[in-house]
Amino acid sequence: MRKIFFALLLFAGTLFAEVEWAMDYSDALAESRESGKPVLVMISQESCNYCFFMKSQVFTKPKAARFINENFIPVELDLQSDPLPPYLKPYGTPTFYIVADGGKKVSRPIVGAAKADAFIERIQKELENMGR
Amino acid sequence: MRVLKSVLLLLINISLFASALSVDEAFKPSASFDNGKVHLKIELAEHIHLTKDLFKFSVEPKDRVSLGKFTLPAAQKDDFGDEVYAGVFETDIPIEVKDRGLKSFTFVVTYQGCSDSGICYPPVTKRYDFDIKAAAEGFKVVEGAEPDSAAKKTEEPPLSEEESIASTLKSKSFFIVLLTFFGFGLLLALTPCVFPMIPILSSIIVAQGEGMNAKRGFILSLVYVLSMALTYTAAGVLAGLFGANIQAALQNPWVISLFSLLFVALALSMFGFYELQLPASLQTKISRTSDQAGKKGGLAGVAVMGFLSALIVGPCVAPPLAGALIYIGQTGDALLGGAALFVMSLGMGLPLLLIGTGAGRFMPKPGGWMSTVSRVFGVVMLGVAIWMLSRIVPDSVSMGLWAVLFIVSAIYMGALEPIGEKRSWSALYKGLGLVSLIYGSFLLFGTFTGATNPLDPLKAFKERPASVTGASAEAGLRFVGVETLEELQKELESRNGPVMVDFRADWCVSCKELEENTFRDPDVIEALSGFRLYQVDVTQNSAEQKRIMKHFGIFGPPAILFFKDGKELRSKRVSGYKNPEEFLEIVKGI
Repeated sequence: MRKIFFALLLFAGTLFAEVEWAMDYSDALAESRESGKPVLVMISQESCNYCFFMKSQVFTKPKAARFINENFIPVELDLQSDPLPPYLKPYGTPTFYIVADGGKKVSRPIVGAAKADAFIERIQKELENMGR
Repeated sequence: MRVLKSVLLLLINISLFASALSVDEAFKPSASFDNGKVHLKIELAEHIHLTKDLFKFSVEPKDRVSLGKFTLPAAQKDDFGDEVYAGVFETDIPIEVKDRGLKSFTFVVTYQGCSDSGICYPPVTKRYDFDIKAAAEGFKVVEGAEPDSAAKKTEEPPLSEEESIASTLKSKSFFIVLLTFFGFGLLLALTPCVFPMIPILSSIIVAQGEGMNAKRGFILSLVYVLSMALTYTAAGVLAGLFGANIQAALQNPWVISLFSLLFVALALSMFGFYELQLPASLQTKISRTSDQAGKKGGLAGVAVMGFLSALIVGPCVAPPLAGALIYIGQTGDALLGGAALFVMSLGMGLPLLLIGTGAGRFMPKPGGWMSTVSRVFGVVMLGVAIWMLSRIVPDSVSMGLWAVLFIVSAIYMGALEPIGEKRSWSALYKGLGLVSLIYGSFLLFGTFTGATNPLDPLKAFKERPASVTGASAEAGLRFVGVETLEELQKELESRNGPVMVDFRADWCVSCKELEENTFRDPDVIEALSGFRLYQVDVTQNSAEQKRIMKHFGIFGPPAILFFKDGKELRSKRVSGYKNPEEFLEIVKGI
């Protein structure tokens, strides 16, 4: 029964949007300096289904994409292949960090996948914690 | 399969348990060497699973020892359609020693997995040194475990539960579950089960004598229903608490088979083949006690009666109740369990409230339709049994079972019998029965034509969606699949005319849209007729695929790049969905 329900949801929810990712971390920091928006770092890796879930099912939701684009300079870093700045120490993926003031202020790690609403809520809470 | 995977993506219910474990807490590996075989055992913490395809094994020194032939044990499918292991992973790997003089070797295993709480761990590599000679006599393990670079880089900062995103997760499905359970409760109220409660409740109200009015009747029945609900809630909470522990056991094929058998047994009782009841002696005892409690009047007495009624009626509603409890046990969530059972009993009690308030005016008349409701429950339970089995039997078998369920139900509904004199209801049943029969036939048909999704039995007859290597359908554009950066660069250099390179992935919804709308549009096909078309499939997000994307500075699919005479036209670059008109606008100037 749930399957049918969600299959219907699938067809109902075919509206798309996208997150405007920065090219790399240094670009993101530069853009952040210019715009004053903090950087939202997503740490992902190969063969990470939950990262795919975020990219394909959450960040495609207009609500989530808008929220990210309006408030952040988003950038995606690979746990295995990208050099991570020393203040980011994720132990799994996806893990998100909010980085402000060029790395002087870093949020707590926001760990794991979540659906759009919960994700936004969690990020907002973290912004409040950082005094923004 | 890939399409199914993207459907499944939507089904995942990122769980609420998320206590974040470090890699070392999540996976506890050990290995031993005996009889020419390495026995590898990895104990997984709760809600942790290992991905079958991501295992890597090797032995060193490579020129003197090698791995024998082996297959990994059967795995279950996770929410993403990947094969995974849960609980304890154990396997034997034969080692072939080429050099008789070899004294020791090193066994290297790399594994990777995820937690149901929505986190994937980096790959972990463990190395075990084994002494060959010692193993001949008994065996001895010289363990030299060491996580690989990725794991080392990420020494885990301890995370409080609060920090984990999943802990703030108020998933919408929570309310959907509650709503569903309320609905089930209402349906249960329509089975004969609830009817013994009506005289009990009526007698309480009558016993109140002259002071009786609608308001008092409402309060009395509310107390009655609430205490009944609390009894069931307790059952729900217990199921949730213990369920968390039995959850791992529930992944076991034997347990799954047992439970689906149980569901079949429960379903048969719903069909009236036999009855589940407390022994008659016990039943009268309870009802006598509750009568006495009722005579004392007062709200406390009514509450006691509500509780006792729940016990009396319990066995009658046992089949659906057991179903509900098993479902909750699977979620392992006491809060959800309690809440679900509470709203279910409220649903069950709703008619009682109406009766109590209106003193019998709103009573539906008992009759044959009640057993129809029971039978509907029976069919639903058989469905649950098949659904559970579908995790462990081949898709074709579960498809076949679905077909049988639909067809047999249809026959019971009188799909093939004449309607006879009584038109109204029999016509409706027959109509619904026919629909069920036809759908069942399609399912049966699908079973033999290789369909795997009961929601899409005629897949074999539909147009195929764009295949992994490209070729966007017979009628659409013809892409050449490209797999490496060098391959693509070579192609780009050797072509003078316009070239289009499309980056796509199976999990990318916008890509599907592009393929199904834009790339099938006759005008678009026409406009691209002079183009050489390449497609890069980045579904796996493999190192090579990422290298290509990085080279062109693309973050993910969909991305469409245009080249002319080997040079990219940066201004034309497309990312995201474009409808045929927008797309034509972009292609026009090239």
